[in-house]
Amino acid sequence: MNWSSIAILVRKDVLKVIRNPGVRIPLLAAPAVILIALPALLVLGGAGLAASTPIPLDAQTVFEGLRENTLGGTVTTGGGGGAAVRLSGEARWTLYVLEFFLAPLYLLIPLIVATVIAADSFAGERERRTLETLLQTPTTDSELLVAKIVSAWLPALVVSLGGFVAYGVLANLLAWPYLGTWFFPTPMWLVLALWVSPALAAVGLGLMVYVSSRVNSLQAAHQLGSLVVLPIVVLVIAQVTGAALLDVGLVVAMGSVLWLLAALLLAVATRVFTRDQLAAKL
Amino acid sequence: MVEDGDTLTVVTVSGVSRRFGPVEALRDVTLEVPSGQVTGLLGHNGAGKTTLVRVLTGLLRPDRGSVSVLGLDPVADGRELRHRVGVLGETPGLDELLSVRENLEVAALLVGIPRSDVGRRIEDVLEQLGMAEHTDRRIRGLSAGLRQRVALARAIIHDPELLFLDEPATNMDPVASLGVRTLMRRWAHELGRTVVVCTHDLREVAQTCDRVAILEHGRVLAMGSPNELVLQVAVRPGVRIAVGAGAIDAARDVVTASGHECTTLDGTVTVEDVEPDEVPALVARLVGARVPVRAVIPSGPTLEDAYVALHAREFAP
Repeated sequence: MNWSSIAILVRKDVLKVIRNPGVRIPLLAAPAVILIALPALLVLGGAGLAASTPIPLDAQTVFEGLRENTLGGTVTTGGGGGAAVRLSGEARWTLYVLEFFLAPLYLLIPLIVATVIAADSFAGERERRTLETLLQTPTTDSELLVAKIVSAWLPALVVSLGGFVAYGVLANLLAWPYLGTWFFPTPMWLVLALWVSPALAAVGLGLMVYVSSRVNSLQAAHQLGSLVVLPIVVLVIAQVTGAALLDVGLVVAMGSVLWLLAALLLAVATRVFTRDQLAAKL
Repeated sequence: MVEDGDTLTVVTVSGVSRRFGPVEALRDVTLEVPSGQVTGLLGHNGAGKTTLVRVLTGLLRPDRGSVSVLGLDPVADGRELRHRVGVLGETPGLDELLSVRENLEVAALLVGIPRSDVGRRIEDVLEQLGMAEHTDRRIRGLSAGLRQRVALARAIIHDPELLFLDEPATNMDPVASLGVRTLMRRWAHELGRTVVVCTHDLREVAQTCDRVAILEHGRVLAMGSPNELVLQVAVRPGVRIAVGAGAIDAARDVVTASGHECTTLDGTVTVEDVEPDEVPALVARLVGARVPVRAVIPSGPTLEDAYVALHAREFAP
């Protein structure tokens, strides 16, 4: 494996992403909406509503669970004390939104970024008629595949970690009036950002690089790629209904499964990916 | 590589076939490319030229047959081979969001030119192709002809031993097109490199190629120098005699009386089916009949005649 060739191809692809407003804007818009606009809207707009509305029983359980799991049973007020306090309706709503509701939505970000870029990898090169140039380079099939995977994985990682940091600042600002302290990042979100998110990006792009090398158009690659968000929708529903709330144990397990799946997908992609198969579709 | 007397064979293709679903793109292709020459792959669109180049550079595996390029197996030794050859594909294949320099830089680094030499090499090759003032422009803003020249620059940036050019003069103006033909000849005849050019332009072949393989429906119909191919055609040579518009009828009568078929156009009599050694006697008769002969131009069969005749012979019902 010639890592220098891989680095040259990755640099070129990342440069193209940065310079392409058609790719760059959607990649930044998704995190801005999910991690900035949505939490601000839900917390600032919904907290008053939550305060004046009776909280459903199952939601009560959720909030207590949050207090126990995330805040160690203690919410400090201002700088001090360490005394346990009962959370108000507004505080519960705020923490529920910031801790649970947005967690699966956050996972959409690495998935969206990875799949958008990966869909563009071979199908996009074919559409722009640059694929033959790529295939004529003195690289092996494996080097091409790794370069395309890393080219999508790195931006996914940067955008999702950048989004995580921005979200952390916003979440603490939004929760400050109720908690009087920084509460974010919570252990679950840390695992989500550092363990699950890169794994999910790897799964998405493993699948998409494979799909992208098989289909003829970028549109077809995007259409198939859009299906990978379906499991996330299930997670969102689970959070809203309280059917399977995320906690540290669950997200660690989820990440482990995703890493295994990513390894499996990449192994399959490596085996089936050949220049001949790509060149035959030129 | 195989040495045959003074000539080194850099490409050997033996019985190669390749199918895409129901379409047999190459059928039992056998040919050789000698070093230091320009070899043309001549044929219509879909004749198999581009597929053959992709097989020769290891992009496509042949279903049957064997291929050796620079002594290497293009599939097994693909990486090493692609270091040593340059390819201009059927489209420029440039990244539009990158500049000319950035496109060439990626190509140069991938073929192993040291980073410290890349800038100078890019300047040299762009200078050679008259593109120096476009170095930092993005590809998106370039005309089709300029893009084609950048793609050519990319193909030769590492000074390859063997250069594959697929329709290199596409979209180029006549001057740039002439420049490419000159470059191909210089590359082969002065620098000792080998050039394989895919084209359907008979004039380009006649002016540039030392050898030609005519492909049609995935098969090699004929191979040889342009002159050898012309000689394969059963079209006898002729002659065009310019006599002036006022004497055209008299000239036609003399030619017909001599037992030759002829056609007339704009003061010129074109005599078909006349051997070169018969021409002086024919001209003497015209002069004897007071026909003012102004010019005598041999009009033997051309490469175009050969191409059409070979094609007709192969696909006659």
